[in-house]
Amino acid sequence: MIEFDVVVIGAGPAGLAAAYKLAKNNIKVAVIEKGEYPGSKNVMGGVLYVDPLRKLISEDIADELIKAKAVERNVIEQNMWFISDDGLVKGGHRNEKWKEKPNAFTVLRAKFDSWFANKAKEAGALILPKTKVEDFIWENNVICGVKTSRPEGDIKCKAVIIAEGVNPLLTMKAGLRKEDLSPKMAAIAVKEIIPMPKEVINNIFGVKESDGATLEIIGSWSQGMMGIAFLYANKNSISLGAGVLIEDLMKNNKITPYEILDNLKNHPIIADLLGDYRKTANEYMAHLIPEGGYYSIPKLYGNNVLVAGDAGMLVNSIHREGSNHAITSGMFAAETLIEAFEKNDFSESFLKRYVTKLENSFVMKDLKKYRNLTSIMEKNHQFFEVYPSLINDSAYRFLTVDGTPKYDIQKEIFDMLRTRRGLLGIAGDALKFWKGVR
Amino acid sequence: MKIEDRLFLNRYRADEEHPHLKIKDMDVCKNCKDKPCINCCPAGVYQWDGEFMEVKFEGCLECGTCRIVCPYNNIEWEYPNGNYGILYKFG
Repeated sequence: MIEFDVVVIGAGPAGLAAAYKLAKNNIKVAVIEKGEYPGSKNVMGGVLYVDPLRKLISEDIADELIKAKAVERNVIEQNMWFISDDGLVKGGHRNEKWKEKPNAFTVLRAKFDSWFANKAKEAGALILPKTKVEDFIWENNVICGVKTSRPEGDIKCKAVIIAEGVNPLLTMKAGLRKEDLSPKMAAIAVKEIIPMPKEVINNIFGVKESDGATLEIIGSWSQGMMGIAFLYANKNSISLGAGVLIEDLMKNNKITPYEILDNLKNHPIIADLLGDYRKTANEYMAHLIPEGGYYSIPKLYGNNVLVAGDAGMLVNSIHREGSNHAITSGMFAAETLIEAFEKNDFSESFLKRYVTKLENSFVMKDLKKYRNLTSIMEKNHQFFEVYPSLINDSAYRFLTVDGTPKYDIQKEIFDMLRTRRGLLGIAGDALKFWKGVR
Repeated sequence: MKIEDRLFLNRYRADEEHPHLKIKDMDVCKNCKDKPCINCCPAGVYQWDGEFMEVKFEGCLECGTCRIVCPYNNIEWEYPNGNYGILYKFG
């Protein structure tokens, strides 16, 4: 049987960040990945924030990412659109400072994860692809290795980092999570990569050569379900996707996730934007997003074991932050184990300091801050249904010139707000929203 | 775009001999009113023919949705063996 100091399960951002950090500190680490190569099974919307990689690897990482072609475009503008059946209200922000110091890149995971895995390899980690972890090896009720799908594939180790992703199969086997995900704890998102000439992409987003932009869309496409759609600019393609809360999809029980995406594509305004390109695609994918937030987090540590990334439900879906939490939690898990090797103590009580590190960082602080927002949103579908159409109809009325005096138009809008949501309703929603984000 | 056309875009290495998705008890599906696996699966893996739940596991995107939505926990769900299943080139 082979032996490693640490076995990391899963070569996603969390697992690779942990492996990189451990290997840099001369700890013998193996990363086990079931895909053909790191990234071959990995999916996300496609926005990667740079800051966690600056902290993990180097301050100059943005230049390196661009040079290595590991990323697509530098995001210099972020937009939020609210659509009704026939209207669109836009909000957004562009900043020149992001050109100088990139904040986020759009990425395609097969490329980015391969690059990240090579980084971990160069640091000294062993990446074992095409291999599935079936179970743990236990000794006196303590994890001391993993059983893999390979013949004679048992690996002994001092500690395991579970970075298996959103489906917490091994986290449950390790006894750190009692119950599986429930339909209100996850969204199902589907995505297509639509190839387009550079000039078309630049026109759609109003950017130049290497600059990128993002677009998030809330509104009528989701048919009242809690959900968000997105359009991200890659080098020679766009990532177009939509996700809805699984509980809402079950209640609806008529429409499939890909039909929801077609809804969005066939919206007259989106159809105009994409033209005939909406009829083609290079790839179609699906992925679960942990939406449960703070309350769905499993126990993140045990004797000889830590949980990082999506497996730990460490996703702030309100700010579409997941991979940065994954990288940061993977780094903290590695730091905790580095300290454990110094003290030769891998006990639960020692490894608990991993959670302290998370609590002292933005990861847990943000998740705690928004702990009630998801449940407020899921109980109040007006945020996805009534408001996008209300603001569109109000804007339409306000901006349409037809000889009506402005005083009367404002009265019409006021009456519309009153009949469709009610003034008390609007005040109540504002309060609920404020309670969720304060 | 039809789901078949969408799945056709993807690269798979199907493990024909080892389906990684299985219905545990077909009678349970027969008595399941809503059959949420059918509508919720983003790859159209599940199809009911009136008697039998057909599971086209070869087109599975390995997301885990069916595992979560089955009200009777009637789907035996695991990842395909190492190196099998969906193989994204973009991701």
